[in-house]
Amino acid sequence: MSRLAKLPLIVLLVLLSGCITLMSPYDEKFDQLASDLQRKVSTQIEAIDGADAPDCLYASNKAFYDDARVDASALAVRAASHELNSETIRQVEALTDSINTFEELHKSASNATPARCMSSMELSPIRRAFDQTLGAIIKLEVAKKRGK
Amino acid sequence: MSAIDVNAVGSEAAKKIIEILTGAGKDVVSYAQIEGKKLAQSAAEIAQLRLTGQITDAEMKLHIRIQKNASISVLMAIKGISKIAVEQAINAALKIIGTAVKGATGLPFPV
Repeated sequence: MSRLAKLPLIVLLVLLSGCITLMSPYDEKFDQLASDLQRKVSTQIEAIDGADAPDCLYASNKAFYDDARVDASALAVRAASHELNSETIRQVEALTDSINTFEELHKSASNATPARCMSSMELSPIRRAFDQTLGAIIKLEVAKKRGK
Repeated sequence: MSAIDVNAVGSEAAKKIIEILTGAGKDVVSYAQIEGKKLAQSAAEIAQLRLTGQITDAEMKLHIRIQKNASISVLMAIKGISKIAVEQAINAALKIIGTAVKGATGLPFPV
């Protein structure tokens, strides 16, 4: 059967099926995890911003990155468990890369001679970027409620 | 069985699609503008950090990578929200068509 000949059949099937779905359903647990991680990252950046050496240095904050990676991994697993969720999966990949990159920046500052705390000016675009990254993840998840 | 007014039903379905997509489009444009400004502000700050020697070239690249990831996340949100709007528009149109078909034929369309 040609593609054109199949068209009325496809239209009929769509009508009979009631409705179509192009995106995964809302995941409340995912939304909660993402919101918790947003708070965690925000709190960490505030803590580094106000601290002096050695509290501001990477060695004193390594646990945060490990913890954030565990949270991002949990988000990735939940995102991958849904069909039609490629956008959210890509967002979580970007988030994970940003956590690793932030860690690299923190190491770089701490390994400088002499070791230095990351400045407020340096943390400003990082803070904004994490707010945007996680904000966009949450925004898309909430949109999946579809007005319910 | 009464006849289906194809023109009227088609027009009503199209109107609903346009209404939903226009509403979603306005929201997406507003969101994109706000996030675009934030990215521009961050880029300016990173350039200033490098110009004043507060960060190295290697650190600047890492900063830009974080910004790139933020823009990916924002664009994915826009793409996903747009897909949801298309889904809602199609389903609203199908509901209109299904109601009309059910009314005219008595066939139990799931609307």
